[in-house]
Amino acid sequence: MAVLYDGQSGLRRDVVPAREADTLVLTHGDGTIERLPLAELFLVERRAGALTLGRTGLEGWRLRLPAPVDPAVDAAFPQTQGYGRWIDRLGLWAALAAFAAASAAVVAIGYLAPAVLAPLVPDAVEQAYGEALVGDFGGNYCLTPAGGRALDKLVAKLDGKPGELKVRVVDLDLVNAAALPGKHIVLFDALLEKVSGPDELAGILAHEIAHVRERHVTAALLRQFGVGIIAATLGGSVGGNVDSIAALRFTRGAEREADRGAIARLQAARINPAPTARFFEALARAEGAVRVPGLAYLSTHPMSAERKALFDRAARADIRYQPALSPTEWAALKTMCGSRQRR
Amino acid sequence: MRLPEQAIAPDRATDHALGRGSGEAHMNEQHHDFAAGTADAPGEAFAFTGTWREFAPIAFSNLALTLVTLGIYRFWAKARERRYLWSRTRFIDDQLEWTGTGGEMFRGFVIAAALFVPALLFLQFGVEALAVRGHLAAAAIGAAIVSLLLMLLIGSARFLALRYRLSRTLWHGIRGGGSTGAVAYGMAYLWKTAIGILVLGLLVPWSMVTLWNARWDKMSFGPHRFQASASTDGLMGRWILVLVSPVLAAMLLGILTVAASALGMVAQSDLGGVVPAPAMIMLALGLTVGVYALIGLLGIGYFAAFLRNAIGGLELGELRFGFSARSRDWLLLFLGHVGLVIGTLGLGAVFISYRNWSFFVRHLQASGDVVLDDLTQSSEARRGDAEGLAAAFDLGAI
Repeated sequence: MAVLYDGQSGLRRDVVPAREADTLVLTHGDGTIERLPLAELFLVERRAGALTLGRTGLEGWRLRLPAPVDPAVDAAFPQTQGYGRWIDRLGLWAALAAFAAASAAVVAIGYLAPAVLAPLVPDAVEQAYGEALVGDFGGNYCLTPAGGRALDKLVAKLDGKPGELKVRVVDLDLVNAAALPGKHIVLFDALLEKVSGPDELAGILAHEIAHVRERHVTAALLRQFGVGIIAATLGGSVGGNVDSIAALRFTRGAEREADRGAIARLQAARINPAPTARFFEALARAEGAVRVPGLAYLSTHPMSAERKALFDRAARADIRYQPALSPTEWAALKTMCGSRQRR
Repeated sequence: MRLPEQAIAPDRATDHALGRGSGEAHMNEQHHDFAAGTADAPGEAFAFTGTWREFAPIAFSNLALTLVTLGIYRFWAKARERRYLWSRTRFIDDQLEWTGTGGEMFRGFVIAAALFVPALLFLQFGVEALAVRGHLAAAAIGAAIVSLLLMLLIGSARFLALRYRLSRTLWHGIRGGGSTGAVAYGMAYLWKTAIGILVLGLLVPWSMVTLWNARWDKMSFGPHRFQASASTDGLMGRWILVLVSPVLAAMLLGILTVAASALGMVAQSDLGGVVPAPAMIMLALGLTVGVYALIGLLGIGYFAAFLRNAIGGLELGELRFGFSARSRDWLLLFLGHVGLVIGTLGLGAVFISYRNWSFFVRHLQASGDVVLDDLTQSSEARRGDAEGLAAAFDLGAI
């Protein structure tokens, strides 16, 4: 005796089921006979030899066949219960392996592809995004004629096409510098006060120029948008971990590349890299102490001792280094924000 | 069929339960089956028949698949889990059935994400961009507006999650549902939550109870609307205890500190100036744990009473519901969770949903009549929004 719910009301009807070729014949208590094509029926649940069937197109229609079910009827329905269509097709273990491989590929692509794709992003797009992101820093740029000339001179020493770069000093109390989308580089006022001289500033500036020239900024943006959005969308702990990896704005590889690039630029300009090592030393001591809320994009992740050693080693005895700027020029650059009314 | 007045009383069940007496007014021709179907647990309207051994393969394969899919499988995992838990939940004479699918939950989630990702992007980048330009006021106002919108979405999500679960729950081939009104509910959620917090938190019980009623009044099963008439009776005392628990904790700390310094002085004089550092550390540790335990216990006490009130005020047709879990039961549930997770180095966490559901069903009660002739199919739309919004915010339905 099987139980039938017709999906119209909650009434429970006893029926006697029997299979005839490709139909299931239900005999109701009052003798009426109902013929159901097996193709219209689907498996809802298989449990301890009993079956629950549903009927396509009739919501709530359920037929409960108690164990033992006539093998002829039983055989018409799947024997295993689903993990989901793709996984059922592959089998659990094969699916696990396939998904693991696919996921590893997705993470790898999310992490590596931006570096490859970055050079393909048109300048105009990056420019527009850079404008949208930083705008004009609320008009907080510092500029004096003498200071501006000194800065331009420094940039020209470090880069072959200085006209493309937009290097500016911003009156914000941050001991930091940043390479931003659209070939913007900003040096914060507190950094100028902190560094020991023009050589040290030149090292930092060269590092940021290298970030711009290697398209690291664009890659970091792509990574942040790509992986970051996927992670935010899917949520969950795995997504969160992926996000935290992507949130290291520049990859460690990019930082090293920028450091090497900076050293090459300094050597070409005959500026001593050793003073820059001092800056990284000081930065290492303050590591983790400075976090600016709301300015997540601008924060960096210094790698302290290793970078200091790199710049120290780069200083060579056989090169006659010259000061990056004359004392007068340096004084003009350093006091650029000082001559400006502080907010 | 008729349920006993007190659904938990097994002795009375022999007289009244489930239409054994053939003269019941609302009997229909199937009463023999009902009696037979409930012979194993007479009197309890709801019963949970699952075992952790059956659940374990589902839980562990779900965990493995969720990990290797970077979390995407969790929607299908949820569907498998619910199919099992629902099918092992018996109401009177037959099991429940979960008809929701992982695919629809995934789609619902993607739609919800499309709503809230722009908001999150604005909070992450827009506010920063404004602040960097010096438009601090605009940044603050923008952040506040977006935060309010997110709160509105959270409220709506609770409504939608409950409606979704009812609409995918089948019993005797009949499902539940709910009417429209998610956004209106979200608005109510927004201002009632705000008011609850504003007045020293005193109105939190009021906001919780009225929101519960507003939510359930829109829900239905088959042709019947739920009627929710929960009140704050008996909640205020417990809630005030929760509110003053930091003060209580501070007082407790003060008393114990005095006692400790007294002890310390005694120890000092005995041991010739040696401060009993380990003892003091143990005491400090014990105090900290004790303070958190106190606040936690009072919170549990309030929540247990809230849920008893809330579910106790629910009616559906001629059915009345009840929930019997007391503070002690909740405490044991939580301690069990903690023990399970710690004892298995975290792996046992996959059983938490199982334990929660079994706890819920074991304490859920119903009394009154179910008239099967009147229990016709729900006419509410079987909407496809699933519980995406709730999943996006990681919310529960109740």
